[in-house]
Amino acid sequence: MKLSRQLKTDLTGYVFILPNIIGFLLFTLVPMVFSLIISFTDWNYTQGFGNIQWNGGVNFVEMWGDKWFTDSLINTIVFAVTVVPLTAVLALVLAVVIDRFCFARLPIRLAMFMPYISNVVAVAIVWVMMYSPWGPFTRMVQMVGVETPPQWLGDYTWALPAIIIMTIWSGLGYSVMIYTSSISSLPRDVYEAADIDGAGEVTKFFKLTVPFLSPTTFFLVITTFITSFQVFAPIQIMTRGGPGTSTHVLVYYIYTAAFNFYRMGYAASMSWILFVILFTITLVQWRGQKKWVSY
Amino acid sequence: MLKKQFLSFLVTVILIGSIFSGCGTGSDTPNSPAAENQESSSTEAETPIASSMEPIILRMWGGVPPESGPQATIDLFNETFADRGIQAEYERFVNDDTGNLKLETSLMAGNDVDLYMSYGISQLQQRASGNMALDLTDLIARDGFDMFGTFSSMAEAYYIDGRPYSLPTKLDQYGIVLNKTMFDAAGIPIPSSWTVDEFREVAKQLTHGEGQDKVYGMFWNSQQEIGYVFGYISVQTLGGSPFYKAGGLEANINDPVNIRAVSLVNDMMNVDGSSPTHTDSVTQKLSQEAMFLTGKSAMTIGPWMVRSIKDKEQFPHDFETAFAPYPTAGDKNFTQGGYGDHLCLNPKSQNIDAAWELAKWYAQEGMLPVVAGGRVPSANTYNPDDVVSAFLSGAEDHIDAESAKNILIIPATNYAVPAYSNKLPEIDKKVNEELEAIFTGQKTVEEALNAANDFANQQLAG
Amino acid sequence: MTYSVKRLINRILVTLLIGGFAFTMIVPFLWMISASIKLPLDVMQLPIKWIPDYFYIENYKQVWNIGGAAIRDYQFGLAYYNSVKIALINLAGSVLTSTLAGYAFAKIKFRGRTAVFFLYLATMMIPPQVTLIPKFVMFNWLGLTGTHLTLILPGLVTITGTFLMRQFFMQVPDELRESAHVDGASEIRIWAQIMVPIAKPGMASLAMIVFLWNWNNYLDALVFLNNWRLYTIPISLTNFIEESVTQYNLVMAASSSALVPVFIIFLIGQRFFVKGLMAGAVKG
Repeated sequence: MKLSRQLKTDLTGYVFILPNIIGFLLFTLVPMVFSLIISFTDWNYTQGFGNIQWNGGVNFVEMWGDKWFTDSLINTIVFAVTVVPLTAVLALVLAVVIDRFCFARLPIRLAMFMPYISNVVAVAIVWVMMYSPWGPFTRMVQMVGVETPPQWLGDYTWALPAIIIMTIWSGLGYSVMIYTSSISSLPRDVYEAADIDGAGEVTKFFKLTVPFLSPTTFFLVITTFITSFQVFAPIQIMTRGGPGTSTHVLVYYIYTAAFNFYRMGYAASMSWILFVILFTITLVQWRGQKKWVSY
Repeated sequence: MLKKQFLSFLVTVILIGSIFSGCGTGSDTPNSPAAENQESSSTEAETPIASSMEPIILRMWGGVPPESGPQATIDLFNETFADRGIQAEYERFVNDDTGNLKLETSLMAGNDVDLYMSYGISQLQQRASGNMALDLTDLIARDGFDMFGTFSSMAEAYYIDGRPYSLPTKLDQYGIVLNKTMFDAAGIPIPSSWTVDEFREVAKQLTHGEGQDKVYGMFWNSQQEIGYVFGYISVQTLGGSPFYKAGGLEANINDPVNIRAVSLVNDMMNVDGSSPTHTDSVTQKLSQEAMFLTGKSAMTIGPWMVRSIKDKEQFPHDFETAFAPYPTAGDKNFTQGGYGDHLCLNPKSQNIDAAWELAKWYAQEGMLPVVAGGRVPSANTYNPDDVVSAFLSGAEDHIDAESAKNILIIPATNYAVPAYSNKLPEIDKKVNEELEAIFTGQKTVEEALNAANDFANQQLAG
Repeated sequence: MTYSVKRLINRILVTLLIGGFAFTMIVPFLWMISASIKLPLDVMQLPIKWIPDYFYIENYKQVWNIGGAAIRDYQFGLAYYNSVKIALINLAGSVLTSTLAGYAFAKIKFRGRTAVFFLYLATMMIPPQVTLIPKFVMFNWLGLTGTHLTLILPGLVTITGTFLMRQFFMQVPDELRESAHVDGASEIRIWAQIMVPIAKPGMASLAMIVFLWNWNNYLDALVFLNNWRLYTIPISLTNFIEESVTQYNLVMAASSSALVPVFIIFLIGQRFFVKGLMAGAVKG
């Protein structure tokens, strides 16, 4: 029997993704489906499986009257909507400028990657000290002319911006590196042709580099959206959601609900709200990619 | 050229990896051989429990770093019990959210934990009702172990639903830690009892200096735990559950005593400036070590850093430390204190008899090494002089023996024991947020505690 | 002449500007090193004293238990070995699986690929804190808790990595593959001989990231490993959290020691960020 062409292609494709599929089914999908079921229950995980109690969709109703949840949701959205675009734009510009106009590229890239590889506790503590009343960051703000700078992490208004600044700063290196690896495979001949046509740097950046890197940008925007919506470690180390609920983000609350309040069902249901948000954002971007991502 | 390099690099990495995994993954289970021959062993405690071949290796989990005493205790146990075929190993978990998560998942999995410490009655309650702690009734009856004689009748306050799930090994009796050298210099005697107003006055007197050189009268350590004031000051008037009215079904957070206690902290932080503000504590990540042991504060809230006080190499200081009782915000109806370090047995352990031997031994004989790290045993089987000298060991010249003995070691009566084990963590979280609002000037004490009280009542009703 | 001099000056200025910015990013690293040679009380002192008056090398000796300096043996060497082992295995495994799957998703036009891929992406959207307990229960049921397989098996596959490699292959022109097909090459040959060489920069950055993820994996290791013989570096750092205070000097001495393999991986990885690979691949 001779396989049809398409069937053969299908088979080849699935063989290629087989290792991935197995790992995915076992270690990701199963726990995920479990969490979906749990989200419709009341479950204190320390009390074992016998303790799982079906409660219909109550969790999904309750959360909208829970100020901790609604505050967390708003903070998370503010966080993601500022961090993602700023990181992407800064990283793209930096990656290209470093690649085309800089000496000492390797040391600079390594330096930018440092916050990403340094111990997250070290990064957080350094920023706690930067933001403290005698810290370098506060001093800098004073020098710019602000006489009474805010208490940053201790201030209800400024704590979240302070965390955002830190996150962008420490995440840049990662994005720069991803861009750099993509830039390495830019087709040279196209640039040479553009040079011959007398195109300026700015033209080349917008007409050649940005479109060529758009699949990478697409990747970065989608993945940093997901990770930004799931920000957790710096919050836990630096502010524990405070002061008040000013830096209370979703995953921090999900964590608190699951392991502090012992309400696994409620935590799971909040995660699924998070899921719906992320899924929608990703779907919209996926649909929209045809307009700006060129493969 | 580079392709080949990269592929060969990849291959090498895989090879190295598989070699590593071959010799690492399987060989790591410490207690499996001993566990099996356990089922048939006799239950008589005095005969060797395991056969002469391989000793049982118990795994005991605790939140105290091994070097603060537990390792020495376990070594002592291993020496004492070597001829009876029981040995033990100490595993440390950090007593915070993640550390307890780790302990609890291990307890769910079963046999990697034989016995462990629970800190605080709500943890104990969680674990007892989740079948993570063994009901000790049968073992106690079998051995004729005298709970109330060994500890005191207060042990019953730590029963869950009327049944013992732990040995309450430690006496949780604390006091204000103070810099005696500063007190002496200011001519202030060390008080044996004081009200919050007197306390506030003393703190004011001891405060001097400006900016980075400022010496504060008091350090509340609020970045670590913002609500210390309830657990150490309110309890003396309101009893062990200051958030709840008798019966536990109604909130009592805005009780005048709580308001007075919180106002004390707030006034000292924001009116007198006799203690660092909460914001300073948080934004500068202050610690008792960084404030009290450097002489930047004359007093601090509790003696949890006894080991640091003793360690003059890591924390150089040249003053004498003494202790005073907590100030009172009303009538003194109770003494701050109770039992802590609840030693539990894992019901899924395959070495329950051996674990029970270790538990009894730990509570009644084994604790002297941990006393040196500041933990006072609650069993009456210890000679008080031994406890005092172990507590002071290595720091005889810079810890005031008399006040350490009276405040921290000699048991008092009429402790403020917690009345309700099923406290809601949601209420604690809300109270903490409201305290934060008070200390940062967002709300008045009354407003905030009323808000917390309303929230708590809603939670208790729902 | 003047044009190229102007260019040179511009280049120097840009380098200085970006170099200055990049320098701020080394600050946490410098602080780590500085804190790792201080006494505990001086670590949090403000203003920050970058170069202390003394060098308290004892911290490193304590962490590594050199000459019995440690108050107890933190078993840091063993944790280091465990971490290297897990990170390398997962690096190799996930680079391989991601490159295979990423290529298939990007270039092989099999039916259902978009749906499967989207399902993949969707699983990234549930926070790991929620799947932790289900995962734990599953491993326990499979009898894997208390072994490194709990970290290795899930670590062999990464969705972000698959996504990254997919995007990378998307940038590769289809002509390359088509002409190879015409020559009668099988799909796996095309992958191994044409695509993998092109994808090296992407694979290299993926390798670095995967190594780091595994190197810093805290929550999974915390819950799945329950015996000091199995602990990895992030877990062994909790040894330095005392009851009342965290010994940041020791934490930072350990963390600084832990950076060495990361540097090595980064430097090896950088070698593959070479320009003009595409041109070479077309010829070869």
